[in-house]
Order: sequence, then C-alpha cells, then structure tokens
Amino acid sequence: MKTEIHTLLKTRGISMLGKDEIEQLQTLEAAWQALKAREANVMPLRVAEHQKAAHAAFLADMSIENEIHVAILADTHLTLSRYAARRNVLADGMKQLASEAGELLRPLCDQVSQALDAEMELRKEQKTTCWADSDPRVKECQKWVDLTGRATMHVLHSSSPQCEFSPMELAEFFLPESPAPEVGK
Amino acid sequence: MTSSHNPRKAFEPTDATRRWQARIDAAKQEVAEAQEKVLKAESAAEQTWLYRELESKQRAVQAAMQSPWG
Repeated sequence: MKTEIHTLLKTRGISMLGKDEIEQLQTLEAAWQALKAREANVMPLRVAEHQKAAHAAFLADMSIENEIHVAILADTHLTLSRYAARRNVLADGMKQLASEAGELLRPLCDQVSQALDAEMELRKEQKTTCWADSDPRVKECQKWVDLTGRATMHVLHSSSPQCEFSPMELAEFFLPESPAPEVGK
Repeated sequence: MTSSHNPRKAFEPTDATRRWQARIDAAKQEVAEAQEKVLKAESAAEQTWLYRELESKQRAVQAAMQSPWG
C-alpha cells in the first residue's frame, strides 16, 4: 500500500514529507519512545523489582536518601496507585506528541485529498459512460481516493484520545523510501 | 507461619499484582491485533469500522492501566 501511495503522489505532483518535517517527526518520535520506555518502567510487576532494588541499594550504601527511597516504595498498594497515575500522565504525554505529529502531517493529507477531489470532479465531467460511477477513469480515481483515505485516517486518528500510534507510525505512508527525501516542487 | 517477614518473599509480586499486569498485557495484545487489522483493511469503509473496534480495545487498555479491577 505504501508503494502505491508513493506512486500516486508522484504522479499527482505532490511532494513527500521534506527533510525539516521528517526531522521534526523524528524528534517527536524520540520523545514518544522515551515516554513509552518510562511507561514500561511503571507497570505493576515492576513494583516488587523496584522495592527489591531499593532494599539492595540501601544495603550497598546506607545513605538517608536510600533509606527514604525504601520508605517511599514500602506500601505496595500505594506504589501501585502511584505507578497507575504515572502511566496515566505518560499516556497523555504520548497522545500530545502524536497529536503534534498529526498537525504536522495534516497539510499534506489535505493537499492529497484536495488534489484527488479535483481530479475526481474533472473525470466525472469528462465521463464517457452514462453513469459516472461506471466510468473506468472515475472508478480508478475512486480507488485512489480510497487508498489515500486509508493512509490519512491514521493522521485523523492522531487527535483521538485513544491514539496509540507513534509519530513515525502515523507518518509511515508519507515517508520517502530513501533516507534523502525527494522534493519535487 | 506466614512468610510475610521473609525479605526475599516480601519482594515477590502479589497475585493481585500479577493479575493486574496480565490484564494490561492481554488488553495490549488485543490492541496490537486490532492495529494489525486496521493496517490490512481492504477499503477505507472497512478501515473506519476497524478503527472503531481499535478504539474500544484502546479504551480497554486505558481502563486496565488505571485500575486493578478494570
């Protein structure tokens, strides 16, 4: 599907994401991945590991800080609740980053939609058969609209409160194949 | 005698904690499967429907992440 979209954009004269946009997306991705790693560190099963590590750290270095750390993690139920709160705030952070990536990608998605809508209208006007829907060129354009609709839906989904796609996953269909982006303006 | 004062035993996750983690893992697995389906959708219309399904699975993950009881 990615290759089909790339070919389609190229034939419509629409540029892929540029170097600056890709760099911004990569920055968002790095921040998103960092939050994801922090989320993995506050999963329920990590509580016992952290309690054990704090205990070992105190025995290795009996500082007041290490003693306080043991005390902070002492109540398992409270620590589990704290970790759940941390997962909540980390998930909100990841959604915010995905939403920022969506904002970056939206102009390109709009450009694709507008170009295809205009093409569709033109083809409907030039239809060779009685019914526009049965005209092969209109059907072909309909296929393109459907194809790009599937790619842009990820971007639209980025503003959903349930979005779990990372910035680079959202951009997947609009990233050039080669590391050096092709700018055909 | 209970083993609650055994330091080695004290650092073992409780059964409730294991169940909570298992609920999160199961919910996340369902999301991963739903995401896979979305990416393989045959049409935009099918994808729209699959997205709804994905969102409901993602809500289940959020619920699992927040509460030990779901």
